[in-house]
Amino acid sequence: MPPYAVVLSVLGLVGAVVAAVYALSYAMAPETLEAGPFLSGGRPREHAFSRYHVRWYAVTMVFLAFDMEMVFMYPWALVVASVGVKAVVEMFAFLVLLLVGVLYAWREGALRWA
Amino acid sequence: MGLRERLRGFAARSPRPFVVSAADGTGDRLAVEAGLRARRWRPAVSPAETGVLVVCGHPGEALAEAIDVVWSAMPGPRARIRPDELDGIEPDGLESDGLESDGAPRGAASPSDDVGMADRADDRDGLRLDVLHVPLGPVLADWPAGLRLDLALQGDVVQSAEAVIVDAGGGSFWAGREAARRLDGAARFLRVAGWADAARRAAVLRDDVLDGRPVRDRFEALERTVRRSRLLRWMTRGVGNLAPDAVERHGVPAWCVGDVAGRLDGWLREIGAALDGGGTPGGHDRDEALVSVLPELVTGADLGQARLIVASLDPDLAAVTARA
Amino acid sequence: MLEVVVLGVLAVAAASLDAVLAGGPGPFREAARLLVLERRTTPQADRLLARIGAIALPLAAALAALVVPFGGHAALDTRVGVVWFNAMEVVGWAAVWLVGWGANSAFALVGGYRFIAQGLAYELPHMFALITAALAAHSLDLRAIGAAQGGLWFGVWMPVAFAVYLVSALAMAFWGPFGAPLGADIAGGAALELPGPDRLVFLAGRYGLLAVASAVAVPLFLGGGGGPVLPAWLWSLVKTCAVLALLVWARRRLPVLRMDRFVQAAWVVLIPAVLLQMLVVAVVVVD
Repeated sequence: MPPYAVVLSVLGLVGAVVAAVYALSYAMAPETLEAGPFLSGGRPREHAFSRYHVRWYAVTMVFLAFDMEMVFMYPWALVVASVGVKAVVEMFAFLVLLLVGVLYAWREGALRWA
Repeated sequence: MGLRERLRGFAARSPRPFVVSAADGTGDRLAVEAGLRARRWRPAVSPAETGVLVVCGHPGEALAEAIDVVWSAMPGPRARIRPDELDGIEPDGLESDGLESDGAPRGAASPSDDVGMADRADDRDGLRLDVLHVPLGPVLADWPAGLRLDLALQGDVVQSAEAVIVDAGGGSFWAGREAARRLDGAARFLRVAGWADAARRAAVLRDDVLDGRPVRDRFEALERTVRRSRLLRWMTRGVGNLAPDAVERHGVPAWCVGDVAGRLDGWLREIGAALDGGGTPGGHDRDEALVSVLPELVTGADLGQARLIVASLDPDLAAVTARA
Repeated sequence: MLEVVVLGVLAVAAASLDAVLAGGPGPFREAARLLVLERRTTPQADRLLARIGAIALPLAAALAALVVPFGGHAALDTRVGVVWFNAMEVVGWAAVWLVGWGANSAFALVGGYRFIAQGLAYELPHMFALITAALAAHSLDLRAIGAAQGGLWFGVWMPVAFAVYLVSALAMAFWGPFGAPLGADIAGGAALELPGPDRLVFLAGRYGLLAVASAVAVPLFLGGGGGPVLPAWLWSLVKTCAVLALLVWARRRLPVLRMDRFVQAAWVVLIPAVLLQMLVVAVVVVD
């Protein structure tokens, strides 16, 4: 089978199972109840949709810096053996630079927020 | 006998009850927990995943209202049962007219239209951020019966808190049963900490202690397991630290001083001593005082930490007579 | 195709084992219970988003399963299986967050964001562990990586990367010590308000993810289909079952980790440790 046919058939299989689950549920219980949300017995005072205070926003910034770098590492892993020492030195020099950034973030307390 | 009835019957043989306890419902709750274990059923952690509600004890008016809010939001087929009715669960049909037995429409307990968007307030870093008002309790799994903490949250951080005693009185179930009380507290604490296996062992020991079976060896094994857990220590050390002056300011017992990890250690020692037949240190726990320190302890904590803090103090509101 | 179906069966087996360990009803009874339950929605909920999130999880698991080799054969013939697995696994971030956000319920919202914070902690160590194995085999093809361990399993001579991979496998399936996004302390977290069928699909996807993560550990670190007597595909299956059983067993054996403490450990301990491991591997490879 060509690759796209495999992907499509797996998608179709999962889709069919999921559709069967919903079909069965609608057959068993036609109505949908609107109730809640669960607030341990309380009633909501405002919608939960809100601008959530992500205390770890500094971590997301450091994460993005590293994550971009990972894009280079996949092709790098393939050529290390053929390029040799140069590839290792260059990549780890780059990683050390990033790690210095992590060290700084750590010292600044960006990695903990309790 | 159609497919629908057969599927419904198949599913009904292992329901997943949501268990709520009133302040005086501890004995009932223990019976339900043991009943679930014996039947190999598991309790629900939220009412949205089940239609079976078990109410333990005798809820006062305020708690009964909170239970009704939850009950009206539970999906059918529903059954609201007493602790001794686990074997006779008879759910209502789904083909009802969408009305409660008293004629009120289902789900009407939470009017959806008059709720506004979250408003902003200053946070600790000087930012203005959205605030959500979220109560913890009284209808919450592994939570002290009858207690409610009204929290103002920014993200998952508690900005301010107020403790309310919703249901109290009835006399403590635990009088003269110190070892079992702390084992029960430890079991619920460990469930809140997400450690299902240790929690189950503690709950079994609690029931065996109450039945007068020997548990000394098994308790020592559990104590070793819990004390050796670096992960648990890592997650509880430095959380909910109560300064020594709280003993005078709030009148809490001395064992509360320190952090969550220290309080759990104290419980384990206390259980060991009580099992050895030693006198129970402290005796009366001054449970109102335990409630009164909660707001300042959970302020600044996140929700997960707040749950651990409350579980590590574990006030027994059945021992409280006057309502706050 | 068969490989994907086998992993689906393993996901059901994992749910059964978990039910036995928990002392509860098996997955089919629980599925039936969720199917006969009245569907429930919270007022003003974003039902579409939540449903997309719930369905995305099993879809991501199934698509990730495409590149999992049993013996020397995977459903999809691709040379970048590692990258594909990585990409599909990250779909879980969106799935859990959408489910948590869409409910318009405070505890669910907290649960959804807990998983994002968890992602920030586990994802980089996870990727470094993947790349370490790929580096040693000069390939991003899971079949080639499995075949490259004729002499010594990668799990033996790069134990740090293997350990980090197992930790990240628990974390990506928000399982056991990494179960905080669906934590009991916030009444079920992101999954709190999920109606019956959505909950069934979502939780099934989680078991699928767990099965796939276990199966990928085999070509990465456990010698793929290598082993005496038995055919290669059977060795892959046996090893996958062993890893999966270990992960399922670990669920109840450890307390849940909170990210306000774990993130720092992940960045200050796990990342440097797995990078050192990678350096060792790189030096060996260049030699």
